Amino acid sequence: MTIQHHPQPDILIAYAAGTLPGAISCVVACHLSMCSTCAEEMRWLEMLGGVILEKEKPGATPTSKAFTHPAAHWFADMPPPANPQQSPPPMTVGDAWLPTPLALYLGMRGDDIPWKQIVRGVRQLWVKLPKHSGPVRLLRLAPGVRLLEHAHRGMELTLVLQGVYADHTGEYVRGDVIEWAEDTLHQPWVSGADECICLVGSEKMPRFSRLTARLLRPFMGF
Amino acid sequence: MGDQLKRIADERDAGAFRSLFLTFGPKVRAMLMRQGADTEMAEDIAQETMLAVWRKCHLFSSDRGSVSTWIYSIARNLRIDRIRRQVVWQHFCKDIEVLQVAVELPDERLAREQKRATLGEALADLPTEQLQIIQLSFMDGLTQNEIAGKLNLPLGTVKSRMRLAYVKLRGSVEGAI
Repeated sequence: MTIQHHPQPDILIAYAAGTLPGAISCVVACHLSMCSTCAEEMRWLEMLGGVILEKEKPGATPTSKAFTHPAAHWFADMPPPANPQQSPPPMTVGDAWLPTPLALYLGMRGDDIPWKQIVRGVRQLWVKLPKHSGPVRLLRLAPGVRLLEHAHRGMELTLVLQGVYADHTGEYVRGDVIEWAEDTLHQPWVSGADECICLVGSEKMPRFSRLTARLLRPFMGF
Repeated sequence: MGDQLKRIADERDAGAFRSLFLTFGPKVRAMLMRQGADTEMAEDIAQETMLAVWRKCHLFSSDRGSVSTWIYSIARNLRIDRIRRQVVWQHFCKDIEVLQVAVELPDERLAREQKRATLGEALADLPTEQLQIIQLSFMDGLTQNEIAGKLNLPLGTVKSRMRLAYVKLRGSVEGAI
């Protein structure tokens, strides 16, 4: 099925510029690995980065002589790295659903994900990232599951990996990206007969709208 | 510039590398200093970027161009790793070296050079308020929130200006992709 919902252009620009929060970058990288349209867009956006770099005025600090002095030869002896064809091939991802960037980062296949059940029908895995990246998690939802209504603090990006994810804006399938801006309330559910797996990256932890949800937080791992 | 890279790749020509270093090293360093690196860190990353060019340019087969795109991507990735201390998802997503060695026909090369030139022109033609936001992203490495704070604009305005700039720039390379 063709991907209908892509990250907005400003997200692609920020990814090319390297300024997205780590959690959001993770979701965009996974989308790019599945979407040739956006991967093509990224090619000219990185070219734009090169064009902008060419226009950059060099600073006043003199260039290090370590490289530019005519007598500097140390780097000439640095061996070229192994030919990529000879290095071990990237891990083959045996599962249809786990995107390659995430499989490589986690170092595991989709079948080996240590899911943790948080409530009936909802399993998740937090993807461990360095500080200040924002939270990223894989969510595995049973058919018919309806999540708690929640608002976001900062941007949230969801990538559907399997099944049908739905909310009041419509239905989303594998490869689709759903973006939520700060302070928008929504309550997604699983549509159709199959379970739904998605990857959710946020700038900050989500905020649930009901007191019970707040009380549940310690048990839900938020 | 393509010739320089060819000499570096084929003949391991240290002189050609020095000349490439003199062109790009200081630009990379200036960009990194704007993005919050101190002099030492900026110099380190600039050197590491250029050293990667020296070591990997044989993967950049013969006279293929877009040296600046390549150097930009290496420097950006090092910045995400060293300065922002975050995961470089760009590494996991796409192996730029492998991408660059994909066979490119002379026609494609011409189209790409053309695209690069029109992109540069389209950038120069952007309305000031859009150009400023593109520059703050790529050159200063600011997040959308940081740009909003710096310019005292709502986040939504920053995003919409970025989208407008995207449409204009995208239009200039349309058909050449």
